[in-house]
Order: sequence, then structure tokens, then C-alpha cells
Amino acid sequence: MRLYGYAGKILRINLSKKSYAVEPLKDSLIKHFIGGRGFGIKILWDELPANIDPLSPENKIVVSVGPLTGTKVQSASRWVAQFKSPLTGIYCRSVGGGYFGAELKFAGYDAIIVEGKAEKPTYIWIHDDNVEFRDASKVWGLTTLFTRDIILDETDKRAKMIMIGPAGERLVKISAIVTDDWRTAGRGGGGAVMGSKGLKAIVVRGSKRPEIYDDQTLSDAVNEQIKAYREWPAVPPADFRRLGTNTGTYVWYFMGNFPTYNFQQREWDGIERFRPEILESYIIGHKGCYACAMQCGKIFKITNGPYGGIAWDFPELETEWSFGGIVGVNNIEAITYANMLCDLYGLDTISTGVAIAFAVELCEKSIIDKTETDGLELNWGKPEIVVELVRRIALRIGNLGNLLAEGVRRAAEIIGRGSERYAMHIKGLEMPAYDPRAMKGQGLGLVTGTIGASHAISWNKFEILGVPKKADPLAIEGKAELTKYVQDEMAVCETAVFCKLIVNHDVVNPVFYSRVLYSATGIEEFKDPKYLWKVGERIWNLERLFNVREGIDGKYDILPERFLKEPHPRNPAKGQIFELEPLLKDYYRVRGWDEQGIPTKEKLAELEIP
Amino acid sequence: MIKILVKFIGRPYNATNKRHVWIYFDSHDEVTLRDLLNKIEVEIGVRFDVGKEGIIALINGRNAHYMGGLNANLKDLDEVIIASVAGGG
Repeated sequence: MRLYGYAGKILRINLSKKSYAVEPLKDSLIKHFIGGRGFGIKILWDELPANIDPLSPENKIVVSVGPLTGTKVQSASRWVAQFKSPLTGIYCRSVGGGYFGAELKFAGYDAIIVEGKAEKPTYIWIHDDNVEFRDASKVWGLTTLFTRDIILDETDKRAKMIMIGPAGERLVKISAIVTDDWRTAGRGGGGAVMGSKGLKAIVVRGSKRPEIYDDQTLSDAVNEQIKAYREWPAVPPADFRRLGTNTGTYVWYFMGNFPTYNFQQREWDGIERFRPEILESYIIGHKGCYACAMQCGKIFKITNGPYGGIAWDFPELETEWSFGGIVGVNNIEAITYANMLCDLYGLDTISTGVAIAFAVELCEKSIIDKTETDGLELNWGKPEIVVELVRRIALRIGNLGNLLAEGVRRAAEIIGRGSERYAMHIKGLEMPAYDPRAMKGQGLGLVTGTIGASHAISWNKFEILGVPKKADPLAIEGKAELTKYVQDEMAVCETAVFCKLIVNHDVVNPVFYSRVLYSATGIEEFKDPKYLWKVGERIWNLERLFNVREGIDGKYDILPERFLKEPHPRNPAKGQIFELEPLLKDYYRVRGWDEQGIPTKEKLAELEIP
Repeated sequence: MIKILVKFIGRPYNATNKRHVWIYFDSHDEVTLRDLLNKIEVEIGVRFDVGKEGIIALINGRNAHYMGGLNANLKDLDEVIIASVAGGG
């Protein structure tokens, strides 16, 4: 079959043997899983034995792109890293942006599978058909900024790369994979998996371009897409382009999200510093990913105070929260600085902030004291503590830094003394900036997320933005259906790999995806949006099966008891708790799963999962 | 007298150049979101079409859509946020 849209090849790299092989894309893989996230879960399902140690050579990292990556389709050139997570012990998918995805496609690959463990620090240099194993000793131990500059000097200044910083090298469980332009695949500890393999970076440069099946039809659809980016009436993208995810920060708080003080949710005057016009005053530049007219990335310039002298990728909404509201800090300069440190060291900003908040609450509740914090006085609202702990976690400095580097679930297990009550995670993955008590569908998405508490794979646009139709955030009726909808939709859209933010606005959905996908590939089945929905459901179910194989079934669809027993103390969710049992029961029914939350044989047959 | 705190966020802030205003009603009669928007137009000169073009109204954090829309009742010291929203994540 002649392939359009795809590069048609998978690159398999074995670090132990310093060998590689180029494998053709199989027709069945394309038809059943399309690309990106679909490829990754299928490969992990087929190739990873159950119960392996995520930090052993047996684990694999699949880095993949999709059939639209590197084409003119907007916001579709992201890349996905998939692996068994050392943080959660289950499946993980983490997505990054920038230009690496397109460059990988230009080099001629739809996916890279990394296996084994290098004898000494290594980086992989891929330039078209050439694959080299290069000594990374010179850059081992360096932050991502120095790593990037040195490696691009050694290879090609036009190359694109993903890499780890000192946190990944030290096997910090909340470490990230970072691109050369600081677009981070943060969640789940992918940095540690690369670190465990002695893999510092993957560098690519390509000269090929994907062939398009029907370029005129694709161009017409893309022109409509760009027009929609300017004129979408329901949620005008102009607002989003102006300030990116920061557009929502202030309003999030008043909707009952942006949880304060480690989800204790006390009123917080500090939110006034997060008004859009204040955040906008820090912007000195705009940036975006390959082929994306949205350009939602911003450069913040910080000149005043102890964090002055930097211009860096701005903190996204989640990071403004994780180094802001959850720790009671309203110092934008410090938050931007902490965000920069995370990019340099290679840390997930969400998990890092939640880990710090966990430690502060343990001090507040007198569960730990200064003897266990290496002398640090932990209090709410202390930016200097946040910045210092980012450094200590990344470098595993001291008792507390080393402890929090394990993530809150493991840290609570080690500390004991009831500390687990304050460890805000689901299945080991730290919570994002949403409160399940304030948005029930969003909460159900978090509790059933196939990687743990991820807002990204289950963003309930019905509740949050009211698209494609409005749903009352405080109601529980009908939320199972809406949760399945957004989960399956995001799963299939991440086969492209589309950006979640544009899917969240409902500008891109399976109807639009099927148009551009068929135009790009010419594959008949992809003409039908219903076919795409089924692929999304197939991916979600296979991700669930991966976890079930690891022993993680419905018993683990739980969330911190704070959400079940402590009523939300502020408007608009005052008095609300999260109604786990009825929501979950309905969700299993809608999913066609049994009472243990396991996909039934009938469901698997329907989805053609053998 | 009923007084309502109104905050303007995003485009509404740009349109009014005000972060917040207090709007007063000289009666104890029922006051609705529609009344409030009318009074804002009279006093500030800006008309907001809540529910269109990404403009929302939150009444004490709750989207007015779920409280009766323009007919949502307001009471003394309520806080109303008029904002343009966009996706997060």
C-alpha cells in the first residue's frame, strides 16, 4: 500500500546493543490506531511484559508522531512519549510541542522505540537515514540549556531535540522530557526513564516531507481551520492567542478550581495578582509550535526583585497554580523563576508544586518539623521556599528534596503518620489545578484517567467552556457520558498529534479530523468520523487494559479523601463533596465495563481488541 | 438598597478600563442579571452580551447560565464577574 501522510517507518533503537533497525509501518497498526498515542499504547501493550521495573532496561519509551505531523494542518505536530511510569507504576502518555515532532517526521519516521540501557551516557543523533550513538559524557550533569547548546554545536544547529536535565539523570520520579525550545512532556517521570537508560537526548534533522494524498482539499480545510482560529464564535481564539492558558487563570479560581493551600481551598486574596492585564504586562514575545497559527506561548520578562534578570517561557496556567495558589504564593516573578528552573533541571511543574504543597501542609499539621526538612521553615506563601525546593528536588539534595523527588504517594508511604491524607494524587500522579468537588465531570475524568490524575486527557469542555454544549459543573447526571466523550475524543485527536488546547475549544474535533486525515492519507476508513470515535475508544480501552494487566483495576479508581469528606469551603461549590460511587458506577456502565472496572469480553470484541 | 460588586476580566476589562465597580439599586425589589447589565450600560456605557462571543457572567462563581441566565436573581453584596474565557490545560 502506498502511504500518504505517513513516513512509513518506525525506528527501533537498542541502547544495550548500540544497534538499530528500521521497521515498516504495518497496515493493521495504521488502520486500528492511526498514529501518535494510538501507536504508542499498541506497541507497549504488545511488547512490555507485565510487572517490569519501570527503571529497568526492560522498559521502553515510544516517541511517536502522527499522519498530520509535519503537514500544513494547524496544531497537529506535537509528539507523544509513552512508557511505563516510574511514578505511578502504570501506563503513561506525556505530550510535548515545539518543532521536534515535525523534524522527526522529516527525518522519515513515524515513531522511535527506545529499548535497553546504554553502557555510558549516550545521545542519539538521527539525520535522515543515519543513526549514530554518541557519547553524552560531556553533557551528562548539565541543565537542558547547556546540553542543548553543546549538542547542537556537535551535530547541526538546525536540528531539534528532546532531552533530560539533572533531574532525569538522578531518576527523580517527577522528572520531565524537555525540547530544545522548552516545550515539555512533563507528566509521569519520562525523564527518569530516559535517565535510567543513560539516554541524555534524541536529536533529529530531516530533509524529507510527507506526501499528501489530496493537497487541494487539505489546503481548503486548513484555510477553514485558520479562519476558525480567528473567528470561532463560541470561545474566540483571539483571547487565547493573546495570553495563552493564562487567559483562564483568574476565572479558574472563581469557578472553584485553582485549588489553594494543597486543596484546602481557603479564600485567597492573592488571586488578584493573576488578573489577565497584570500577567500580560510581563509579555515581551510570543511563540508557538510547528504549523500553529495560535502562537499561545509567551515569553515573560522579569526585571524586578530577587528573581530579576530573566526572560523565559511563561508559566502556563497549571504552573501558575502549582507554584502559586496551591502553595499560597502570588509572586509572579518567583513563579516564572521556578518554572524556568523546572525547564532547566527537567521537572514536571505540576507534580513538583503539589509535592511542595504536600510538605508545607505536613508542617502545618505538625506531622513533620524542621528536623525532617533540613532546617527549612515551611510555610504558605513563601516564594523563596518554593524556588529552593525546586532545586533540592531536582538535584535530590537533603532529606526533604530526596523524599519529594519520589512524588507524593511514595513520600507519604515513607513518612507515614497519617501523611497520606495530604498526598494529593490519583494512582500516584499528582493532581492538576481542578477540584473534583467543583466540577463533577472533570473530577470523574481525573479519577478514571488512564495515567492517573491528568486533566490533559480528560478535559471536560462541556463544564468548563460550555462547548459543544453547556453542562452544569455541579450536577452528576449525565456526566459519565460526557466524560467518555472527552476521553475518547482526546485519545483519537492525539493520534494526529493534535494539541489538546485546540480540541478543548472544540475547533478541532473528530468531524474536522476525519476531513483532514482522509485528505492527507487517502485511507477510505478515515473518511468516517464514527470510525475515528471508535479508534479513540479502542485506545482508551487498551490503555485501561494495560493497567489492569499491572493489577490496577477499579479498586484504584479512588481519589484523596479530602474530596470525599471535606466539603468545598468556598463559592460556587460551597458545601460540595465528590460523589464518587454513583459517578463511577454510571461510568463503568457507559464504558461497557464490569463492576470491577474491567472492559468486558463483549466490549473488547466490539472494539476488535484481541 | 442593594449593592453588587462587579469585576471585569479580560475583554470586559479592556472595554471598561475598570477592574471593578459597585453598582447600587435603590430598592429592595428583585434585581436580576438583566437589570445589572442594563445599569452597567447606563453608568459605564458598555453593553455586555453575556452568553455570546465567549463572554460569561459568574454570580458568586457560578455561571449565570445555571441560575436562570439573564433572569438570575441577585442579592445584596453578591459578586458578579463578567469575563471573557478561553481554554486552559
